Amino acid sequence: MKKTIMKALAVFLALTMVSLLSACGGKKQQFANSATDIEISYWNAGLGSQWLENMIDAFNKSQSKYHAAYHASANQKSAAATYGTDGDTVDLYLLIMRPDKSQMEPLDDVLNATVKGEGKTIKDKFNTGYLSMMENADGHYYELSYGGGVVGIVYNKEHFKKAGITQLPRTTNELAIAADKLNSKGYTPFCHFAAGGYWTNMSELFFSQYDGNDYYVNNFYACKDAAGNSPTKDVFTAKDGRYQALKVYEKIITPEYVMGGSNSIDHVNAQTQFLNGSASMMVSGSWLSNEMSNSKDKMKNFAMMRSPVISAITDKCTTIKGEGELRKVISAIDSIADGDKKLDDYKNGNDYVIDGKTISAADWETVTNARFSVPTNFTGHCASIPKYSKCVDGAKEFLKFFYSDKGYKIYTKAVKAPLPFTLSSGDVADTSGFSSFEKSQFKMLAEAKYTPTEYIASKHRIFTDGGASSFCGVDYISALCASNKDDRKTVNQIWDSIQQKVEDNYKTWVSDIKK
Amino acid sequence: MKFLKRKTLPEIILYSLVSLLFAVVAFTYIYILFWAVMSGAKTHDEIVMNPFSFPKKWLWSHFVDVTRLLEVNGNGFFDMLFNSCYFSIVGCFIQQFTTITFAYCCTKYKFPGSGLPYVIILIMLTLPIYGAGGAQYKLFRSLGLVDSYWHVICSAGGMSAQFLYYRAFFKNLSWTYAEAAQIDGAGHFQIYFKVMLPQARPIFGALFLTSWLASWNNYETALLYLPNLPTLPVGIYQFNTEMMYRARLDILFAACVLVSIPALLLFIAFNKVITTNVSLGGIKG
Repeated sequence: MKKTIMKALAVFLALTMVSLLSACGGKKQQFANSATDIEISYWNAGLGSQWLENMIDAFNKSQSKYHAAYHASANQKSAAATYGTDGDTVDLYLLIMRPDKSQMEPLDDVLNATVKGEGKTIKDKFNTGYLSMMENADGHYYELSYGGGVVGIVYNKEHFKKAGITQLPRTTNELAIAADKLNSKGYTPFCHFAAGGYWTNMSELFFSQYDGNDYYVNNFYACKDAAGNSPTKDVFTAKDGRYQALKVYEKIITPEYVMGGSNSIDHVNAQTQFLNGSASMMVSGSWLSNEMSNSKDKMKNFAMMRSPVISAITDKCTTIKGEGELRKVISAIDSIADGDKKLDDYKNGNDYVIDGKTISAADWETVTNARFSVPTNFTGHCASIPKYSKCVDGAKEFLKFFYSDKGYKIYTKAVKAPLPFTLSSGDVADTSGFSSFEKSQFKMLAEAKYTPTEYIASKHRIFTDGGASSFCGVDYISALCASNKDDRKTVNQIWDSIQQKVEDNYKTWVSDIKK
Repeated sequence: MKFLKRKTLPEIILYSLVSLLFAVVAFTYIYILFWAVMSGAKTHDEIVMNPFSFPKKWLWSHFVDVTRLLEVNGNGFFDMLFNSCYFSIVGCFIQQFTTITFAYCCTKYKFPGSGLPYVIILIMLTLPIYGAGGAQYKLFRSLGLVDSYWHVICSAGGMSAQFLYYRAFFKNLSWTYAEAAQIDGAGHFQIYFKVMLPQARPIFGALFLTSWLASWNNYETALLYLPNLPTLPVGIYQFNTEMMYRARLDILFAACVLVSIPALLLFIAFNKVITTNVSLGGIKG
């Protein structure tokens, strides 16, 4: 026995020696802190790093003045650890959105540039709804997305079929009905992961749908009341779309409808269980197919639905009375988007007529805006250049290359997910060969009018410096479906907790705003 | 059976219960290893959905895939294997050699302050490492020892905890060996290298092995001081972090198994050496 072990050891040591020799030529990234070397620190999250390697190779070949190289970490804090520290040599950070813009180089000139051979500026290629959220309170752009994706409710097609759901939920009430049907057929309707999972993105969507994108961006996130006073506590205490979003969850995020363990598992675990049929619906995003690339065959059974419109939106409409009429309006809007009908088929003067019922232009617009508000997390993947970088110009040239048609194609080919901008022709990438799930991401973003997100934090410093947030850090999803009755809370109790947080912290948020 | 015949019934019951307890403990250790190997040969989905079931198909290819998929900052599996071997073998040898030499000098030669290192090491052992971590990092960085193969010389302090073992060993080693060598005309170096050090071979070997085991598994040092020269444990640590965004628990387990093989084999081969030769009493006779 001992001889065998010794032989095994000898083989191992021999292999080790071979590796010593083979390692001598190992690939190592070298970073020179100069005006021509671009050092990139990349948060390697669900997008992988292949796209960045391809992008850097293409950029380095496209010109001779600059040389780009990167280092990556899957840990966001590690990738950002050197930001703003003495001796930091990084020229371009690819991270989650950062609150403090004071160390960042404005990127306005990148946006205003026109790439050679393209007929429009980079800014004109971007989704306007997305840009409106990226514009800082001072009017400048300090961060621009390098990735992310569309967020929405992904569903199991087979479960839906077996439960007899032929019409995808158009409203949140229909979503609750679908959940009930699935549950009655023995399927668990929903799963999520710890701290509410990606429902937080949907909360922002429901909030913006109910109150309108204008209020959502220019009042709530600007911390400004109707009279223009800012900062104001009123935006936090108003019983607005946030409360309505909680009311939606009251019907669907229940212990009976949510997969056990959802409150404690991580997102890859939840996604794995979801793709294996443990639940019928999960809020996820474009990264799903990338992160779960070894389950490609299973992905065929999944699709992302257009996000349902919050049923309470009828509170804001004068001519749409009740759930039934709302569904008909949404069906009409969808039929136009899908090319089955034309706008003129419904138009009657300034108003619209659906099944003999007149819908005002204002209500039509309200519902259309809500239907084509597409939650994204592009703002959660932001490129920024530190002011102190020795290679600011080089980093900007790299970003211009990324936002060029060529860069767009390199990214979308590798990641198979959309970006918040298009080709200069206005088209999206060639998606032939992409899965139906991947294709749907491009379609949803192309029709998006607004892109609400949980990372909108640049409109007022109370959100960046002060630490305020829409739901004040209350973990409402876990509280609604806690398996332990003592930990479970009603919507009103959760709303009270949020209000209590506002009462306790508002003064600190305001005082923490940097002068 | 003879053993049992000499025991009373209560003693037999007691011994049986204790043996059963030990068997259960041993099983838990062995099962964890088996479970890790089994998980490495399953698919990611199988690990998540049925963590304790046998794989539908044993995918041994995962243990080969590790060499392709484990990568940190441009360093592949074999780069990390090299770094692991280099820092654990060379580093531990330097550490043990300087420590045993230092302990020998302090124990066998009387000079002012010869007893001081013993006190200093005792004090150092009580201090939390994080108290000195910041200053140590700054020192290594200013000396150019961060992210460098020269970092290995940081092991040459001679003030490690093993000093206590070597000190106890040499205290119990009679100086008459040296006196006999002196009569034959040996100098100080000859006495150390040809007479004293050979007698310390068992304890040196045992402490080298324990130190190597700790060094092989240590990822904190490499993570902190060698970001671009990662070792295999760092590779696994990084890969584990990537699991937040990658569904490849199968590869993670396969990597853990592969990396633990050298340590396991060494422990199986030399466990007697390790457990019997680390004795504060030193050699006998």
